Amino acid sequence: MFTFTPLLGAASSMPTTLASQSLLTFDQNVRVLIDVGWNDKFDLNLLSELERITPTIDLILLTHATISHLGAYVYACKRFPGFDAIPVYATLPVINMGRMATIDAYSTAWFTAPAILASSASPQEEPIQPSDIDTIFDKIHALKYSQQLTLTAKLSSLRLTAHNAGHTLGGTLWRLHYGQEDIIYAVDWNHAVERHLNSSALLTAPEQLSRPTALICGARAGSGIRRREDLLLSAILRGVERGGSVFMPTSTSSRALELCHLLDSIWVERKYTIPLMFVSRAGTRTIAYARSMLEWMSPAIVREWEEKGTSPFVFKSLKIVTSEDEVRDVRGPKVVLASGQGLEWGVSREVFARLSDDPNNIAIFTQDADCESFAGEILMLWKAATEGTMTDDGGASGPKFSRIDLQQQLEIRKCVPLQGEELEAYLAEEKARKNLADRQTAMDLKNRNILDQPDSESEISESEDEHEDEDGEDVEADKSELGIFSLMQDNDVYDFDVRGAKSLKHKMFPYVPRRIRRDPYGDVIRVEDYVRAEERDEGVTSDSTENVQGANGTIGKKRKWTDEDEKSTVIPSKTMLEYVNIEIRCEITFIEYEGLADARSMQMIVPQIQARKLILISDTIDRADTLAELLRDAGMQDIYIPLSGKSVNASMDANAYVVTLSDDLAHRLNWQDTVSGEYKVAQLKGKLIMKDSSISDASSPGPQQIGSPQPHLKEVTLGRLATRRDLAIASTQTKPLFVGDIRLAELRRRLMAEGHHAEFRGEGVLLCDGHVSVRKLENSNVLIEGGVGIKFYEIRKIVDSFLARIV
Amino acid sequence: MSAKRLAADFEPVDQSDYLEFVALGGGNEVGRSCHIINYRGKTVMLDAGVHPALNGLSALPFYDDYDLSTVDILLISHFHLDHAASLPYVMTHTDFKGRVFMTHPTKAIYRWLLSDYVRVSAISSNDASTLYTDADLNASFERIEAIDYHSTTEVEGIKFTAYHAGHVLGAAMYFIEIGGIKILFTGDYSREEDRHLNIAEIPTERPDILITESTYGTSTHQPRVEKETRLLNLITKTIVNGGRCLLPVFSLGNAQELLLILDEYWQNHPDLDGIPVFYASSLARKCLAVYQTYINMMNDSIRKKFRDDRSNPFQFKHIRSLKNLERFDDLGPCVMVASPGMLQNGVSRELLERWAPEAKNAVILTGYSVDGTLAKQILNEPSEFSSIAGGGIKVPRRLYVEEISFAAHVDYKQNSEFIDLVNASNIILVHGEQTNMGRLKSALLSKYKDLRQTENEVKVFNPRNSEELRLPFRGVKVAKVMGSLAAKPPMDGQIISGILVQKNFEMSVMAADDLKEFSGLTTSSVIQRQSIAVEVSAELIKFHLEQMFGTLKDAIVGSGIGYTIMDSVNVFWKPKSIVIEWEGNMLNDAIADSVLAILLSVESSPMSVKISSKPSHCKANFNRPEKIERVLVFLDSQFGSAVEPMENPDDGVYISIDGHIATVNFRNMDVICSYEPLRSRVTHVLDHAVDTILPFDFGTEESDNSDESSSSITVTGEKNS
Repeated sequence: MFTFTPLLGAASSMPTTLASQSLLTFDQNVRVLIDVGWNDKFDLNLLSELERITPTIDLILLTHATISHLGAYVYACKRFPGFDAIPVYATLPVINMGRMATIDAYSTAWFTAPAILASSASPQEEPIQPSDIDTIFDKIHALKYSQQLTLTAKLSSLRLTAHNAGHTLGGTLWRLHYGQEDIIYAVDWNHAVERHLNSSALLTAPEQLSRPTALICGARAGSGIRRREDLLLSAILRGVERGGSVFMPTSTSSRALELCHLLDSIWVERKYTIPLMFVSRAGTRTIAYARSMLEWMSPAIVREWEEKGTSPFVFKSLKIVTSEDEVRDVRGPKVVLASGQGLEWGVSREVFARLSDDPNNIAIFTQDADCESFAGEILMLWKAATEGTMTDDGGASGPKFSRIDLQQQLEIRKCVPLQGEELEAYLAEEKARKNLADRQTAMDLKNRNILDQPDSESEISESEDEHEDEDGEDVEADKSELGIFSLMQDNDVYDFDVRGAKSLKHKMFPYVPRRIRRDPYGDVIRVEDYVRAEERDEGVTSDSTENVQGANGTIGKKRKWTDEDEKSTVIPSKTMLEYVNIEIRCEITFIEYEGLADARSMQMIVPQIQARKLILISDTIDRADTLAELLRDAGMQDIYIPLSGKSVNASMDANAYVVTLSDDLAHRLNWQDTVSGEYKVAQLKGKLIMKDSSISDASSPGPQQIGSPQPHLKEVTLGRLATRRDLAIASTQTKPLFVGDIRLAELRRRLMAEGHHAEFRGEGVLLCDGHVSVRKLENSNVLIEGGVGIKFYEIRKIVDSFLARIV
Repeated sequence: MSAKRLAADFEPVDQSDYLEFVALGGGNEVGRSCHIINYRGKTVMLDAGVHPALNGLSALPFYDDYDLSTVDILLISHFHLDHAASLPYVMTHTDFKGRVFMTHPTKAIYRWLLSDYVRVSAISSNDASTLYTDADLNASFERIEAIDYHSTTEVEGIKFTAYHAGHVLGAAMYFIEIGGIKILFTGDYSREEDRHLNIAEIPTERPDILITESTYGTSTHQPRVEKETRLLNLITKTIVNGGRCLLPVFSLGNAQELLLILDEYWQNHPDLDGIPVFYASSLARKCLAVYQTYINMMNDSIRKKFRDDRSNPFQFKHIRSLKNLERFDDLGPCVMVASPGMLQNGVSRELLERWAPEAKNAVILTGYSVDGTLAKQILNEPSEFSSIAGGGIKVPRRLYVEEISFAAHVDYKQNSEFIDLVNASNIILVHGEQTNMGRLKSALLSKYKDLRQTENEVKVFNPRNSEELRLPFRGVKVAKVMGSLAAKPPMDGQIISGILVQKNFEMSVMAADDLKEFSGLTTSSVIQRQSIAVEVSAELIKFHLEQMFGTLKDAIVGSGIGYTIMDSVNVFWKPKSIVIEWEGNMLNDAIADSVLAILLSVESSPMSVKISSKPSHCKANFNRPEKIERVLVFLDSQFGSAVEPMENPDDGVYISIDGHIATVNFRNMDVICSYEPLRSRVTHVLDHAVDTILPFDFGTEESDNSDESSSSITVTGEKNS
């Protein structure tokens, strides 16, 4: 039993958003959540359903590293109780790039503002730090493509495999097996090979992805325009040539890679000198990650790397900058790729605010945006403005430029480094916190040591300043209570005034003899005392290493190996709200560069998958309907288009069970090859023998239940037919037939090889030796016609040899 | 998908159930690893190496002993020369036409390493017989396919997955599954925690055969910390004495680990800052780039360091790289990490010869040395050794020699622990010197001696090169019943009748109608139509066919007449021909053949004749008076005036001669006469007359009157009587 419920990402009554969240339910028992997407504005309403079903989710899978696919994951982990305990699987690039995208997006989101805020809207709970995001993403299990995964406990009957989907680095389409159900989830995939991405496995490895019982396909299709690179380049040049700048908002770590690689290679090839930059708060780290994941990329990149030895993501012209100020510092016309495709989060908003007022500038949008986001508004106005001039060739004649009339007050959240007082206050607080933490660890260490000296406690406990128990609980290192023993506590205390001492004992430097602990086997020894010289050396060096390397590796400035420049670590900063009035005077254009399969290609590829049921999801119902139409034309039936929140039952109605063939039956099988060579067929007639399996834990013998998800090997053997009666029954159940398909061209070749003369006459009729004709009928049947003669039988024999005969 | 039982339990195991294993190299030796596995028609080749101590063609595995064109896939475990160096040779100079797979880092490193190898062997070998050229290497490089760890790839029914093996970056263990038999090939592997490598992992499934290395036999490694301390102490001592320290290594592999160790040590001991550490390798920069790129294939600690510090741990702070020796100023004590690892030639050999005479210097061998190489020889501390310049020149050896092996192989304890965890029932030992391997085999056998003769018996093999090993396996065949046949749950005694479809060792059972849906196979029928030129009436056909087959059904075919015989063969009657049509299968063919035989003989069968007893009419359309007239002509000419017609001239005539009267009746052609000679004479004449005029049968009176217009001719045959 399988039901599919799109939580987000299908058409609904709410304003459309590109966010995607889907729930797959098996047997009403196992629930898998695929994608935890969010919209650009981080609207909490979208997550209400997710919050409600959190306790029931068993597994989470992620497909692409964009906010619309995993933007809500970290938020849910932090804010929804129990969410972070759910196992999550994704491919490695999705994890790393998703990490970067989340860090970038969350840095200016309304819920991650660090303590200091200029406005009054501060969240009640603790802020989400980048380090939190790192830890949360670290918990995701990394998978490779085609990796066989075994799960445990409740999920043990679920098998899932990841396959390449294209569109983003590490983009995944999931194949899930549960009992009889065989589901493929493919949302946002690309069939074409891009610069840095391979084409989807739907094309490259179709035999692994064929005949699922249900295919869930995203209906968001690309535009299919050709020569996109040229269009993009011409748009860029248009702006640059007239002295303006070009602004391109893009995602942080998914499509940005494609654009960066593309523009950098063009710049290098044509030796442009116009400054080209990619601005993103997580820019350097993103590219560093990209450099380490070359094996996930297209063969062209891998070849470039293997043969030339230069990493393709070491950019020669493209500069990576991390803040809007650095963009501003570069004077004159420039080409800027900014992270944040919706102009809601990321630096794109600020950069756009600054670049939009010059009429010479051009803003090129390459990706779809939520209709509620700023970019979405702009694109709607642009579409309206260019409606009249729209041609039918889908933009092949050139991108449409237009100016739109929009004046708006933008709220920009800036991450501003702390300065002056604030910085000092922050540092002081950090220091205090660190001190406390250090103290605590020192205390713990000492307590552990004290544990080994149990009788120091008994010594001290006699005195009136008793402060420790036998089992050494944590102690407030209060000097006054300890008295002179505080000198031994190893916490910055070096002086003690003995004049005010309470007892005689406190006037002498304390010595606590170490009492040897004894157990029934003798003295208890401390292993550390017996470490050999060689081994102890190691311990010492590693400690000193940490101390020496504390200040972030500034030692050894000799750069002998590479010329790489490393950007530094986290700068303490705060979020400030700034209100800017902008008027959009620059030109706007849209050149689709999403990297998605276009509708026509989908129409060709999807039917080949031969899924029994097809579920289409898309943010707008129009897209889904158009695609459904195209697919129905191509012959597909059983297409469902669910709305958000509505379930679709897409179960497979069949059962299956596994039988073991007995040896004597197996030996007597008469195998025949089919023409394609992949399959071998044989006729099977046998009698079921059911026995209790010694290993199975099912106590009741007898037939299994229908629809049980896991057909246990319950020792069902198929034995030979022994009695005549059995044979008679069996023979009534079968009728003889031929398996295979004959192609006339191949038949002709074979006939010629055997010495017969064969030629094609008319439409699909093969005339052999002038007497016998062979033709194919509509239902793949073959008709041999001829007179009485030897030739007829010879030719018939040859035709028969093409088919596997099951009598 | 199958369980194995001992073959001994069953009667004749047939040919296909044997798995064949041949080591073309690496059997009872270290070097030129190459193993072949053959099962059920699928052949897998594992590794293609070169022997480091031999030269030219003799360094290759025994490729001539096997037909390489039958190999389906070739898996390379890691880039070391004794596992991968003869790959270009195999791909370009033999008839191998399978697919080659290796992991991504292996592929990247393999390229540089092998081009270096080609260069160096071209320089140093005295005879010009290099195995392959750079061009060969480049040509074959494109065809190598790179795979990722843990991804399961399926090629022609063979499934394989790469697992981390430790040892060097990119080293893989292959878990192969052919037709239900699972094999784990470890290549070279290590189970010790390293600074940057993953240790060998245990696959999730249990293999039937484990092919494992046995380099270190039954010896035990020193614990790692001790080794490192020993190394560093020795280096420090040598330097303090003013000597130079040489560490010969492979360019890639051990070297990186050593460099990490040295870098860390130099970091922690600032007093050593004045002493330079060099890494002499032409591949240094390229190798570093590879290590930086594949950081995700290394262990978690180094990945975390990369993540946290944002700096690449392979950017060494205290180690300088040297492309070649010209730039090297041999001024004072230093540490030199140089390749190649077994001192055969190149920078390390040159430096050794330079430094060997001085007792203060030291050479520390950190890798495994193969028999026959200088590294192995020098471990015996000879007083001199021959120079690479040849010509009998000897170099005195006074420097200190030490072996501290960081070779990242498993020792006995780790190997046997791994074998236990993997829990295979058959173990094949490769990649070990004969004595080591033998010792390991006996150790393993004695370890498992309690399990002998039980179901869990563990068998250990150590085949020599080119010695074929055949292991019997009884695969239990399992098939999945699906579709309409599985609609009801299975019941004991139920008869299942359907089609068994096998693809790549997976079998399913389904009904014929489900074939298309579940397997994509189409069923087609061959419809045959034969036409025979025969002119008989439809009823005659029907009669004959009914005689043979019982009642026929009428087949409605347009305007013609047709019959269906036994619901399978259709016969269509057309005036001049008959068409038989049937769907070809054994039963129908037989029926059709018999129909054909019947039809062919219809015209000549006696029955036909009898049935179709229609009046024969010649083409000449005579009516009765004409006939009588003609007969009378005859009689007249014979008997003249003696002929007298009866009252009714049509009835007959009287012939009277010499007082005898013969009555000739035209109705039935009878002659009545009491006088015999006259009677016979008249009969004779009458017969002649009839024969001449109407050579065909007269037919009876009734039919005479009825069909004046019929012009059919009945089939010749005997006279109607």
